[in-house]
Amino acid sequence: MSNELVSIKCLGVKFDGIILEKVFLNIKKGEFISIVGKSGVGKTTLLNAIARLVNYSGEIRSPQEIGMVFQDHSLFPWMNVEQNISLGLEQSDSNAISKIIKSIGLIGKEKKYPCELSGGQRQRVAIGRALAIKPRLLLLDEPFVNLDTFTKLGMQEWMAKLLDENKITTILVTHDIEEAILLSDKCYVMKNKRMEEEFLIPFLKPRNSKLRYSKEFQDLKQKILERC
Amino acid sequence: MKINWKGAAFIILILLFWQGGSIVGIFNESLFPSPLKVFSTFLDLLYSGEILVDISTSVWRVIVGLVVGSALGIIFGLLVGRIFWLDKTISLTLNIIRALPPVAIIPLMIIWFGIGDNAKLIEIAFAVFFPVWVSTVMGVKSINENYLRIARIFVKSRTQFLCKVLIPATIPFITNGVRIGIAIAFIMAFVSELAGASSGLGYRIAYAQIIYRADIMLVALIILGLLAAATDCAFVYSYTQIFPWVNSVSKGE
Repeated sequence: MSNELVSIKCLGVKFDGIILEKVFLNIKKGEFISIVGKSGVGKTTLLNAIARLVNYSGEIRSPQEIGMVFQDHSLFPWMNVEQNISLGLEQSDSNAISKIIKSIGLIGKEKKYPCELSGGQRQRVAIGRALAIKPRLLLLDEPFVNLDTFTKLGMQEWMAKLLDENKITTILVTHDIEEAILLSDKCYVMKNKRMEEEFLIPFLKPRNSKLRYSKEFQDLKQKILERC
Repeated sequence: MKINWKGAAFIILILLFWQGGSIVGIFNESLFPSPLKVFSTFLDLLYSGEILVDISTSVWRVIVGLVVGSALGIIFGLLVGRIFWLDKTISLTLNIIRALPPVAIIPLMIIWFGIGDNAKLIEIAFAVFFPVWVSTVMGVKSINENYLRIARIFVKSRTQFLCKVLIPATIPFITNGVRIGIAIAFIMAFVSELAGASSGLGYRIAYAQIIYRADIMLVALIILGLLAAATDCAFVYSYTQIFPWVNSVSKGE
């Protein structure tokens, strides 16, 4: 039986011009992969195609239960934390929501509206909303790009721990190569509208952010950077 | 709710100037009676009960017309905003009718429905419908693209989309439309009562003109203005309490 959860064959996306062409990608169950590359290479479009948010040619086989976190938190301002998290649930399950709120560290803020939260807290709610639907595939589109450096570092460690506990197959799109190495099992470089190269991340999980100061980490970062 | 002290002080200044002008004889008392004379006339009308009947009649007409016109405006706005073929089919007709001054339909309404309440309620609802409809359509069409992306990922049914996304996202536009509708409802109530009624603030003004009583006219006009302003304030206060997040939606936060 195949262990593949996502299979992409010869994917192409066109808007005004070609955004993606001949993209091939296979992801195993429970795997965490990152996609890095320069702006405009089609990283976000790839996620949007997997989530069926854009029209595409080629073949995408992926589960229906997809959770997605966008660059900007994209919470509904008219819903409080609890309501935003339960958005994708058929029936509101207060126990499950309480667990999620606990896991994202926002106990006591259940009734707060997004405008009453900090940037990091909003992004945690967005991650909680994606996790609440018990996704088989989680798509993260530069989830920490709008956060300040300190919040970002804290969020990366928190995210690594959270996803390690949940074992959800995840695709992370990011500009931050250190983030990609710290969080993922494999890192793909996108270039010229397609997947250019795959890097296996050799470091054991769970990873600590201090890992980024090691020589191996910096060497790998340099290698990936050279391919971008 | 904060009290606007500067605004209140300005009104007091106008009243003082008006009263002072009347005392020194700048204003002709029979054409432009002093504030004290207007207040005394108000008390007379209050004791006789006439003004209370006028106020309750006009307010009732405004509320019913406003509620019916707004409800229809919101329903048609949501439908036209979301359903492409419906937009293409009925928007042209509605825009042609919208271009008519609402007061222009009053003679026709009198012919069709007489001078009773029905005609006035239809006239008010008709006039309120269009600003609410236009605002709602604008709200639906300018809905934040991010909200639609989230909805496509997380929202499972059309009913959920309507209740959890579309209506809340359009609330700032709907409330703006209703605020415009409130002012128009008072104008229409007044004009429709001028054109044939046996009670109401518009009727009181028309009657005062016949008996040449500027003080009664001013009482009715001031009450009309105060009612319209109070309704607008109450509406703004209510919706900011019910929808505390409304400014965040406008800012796209």
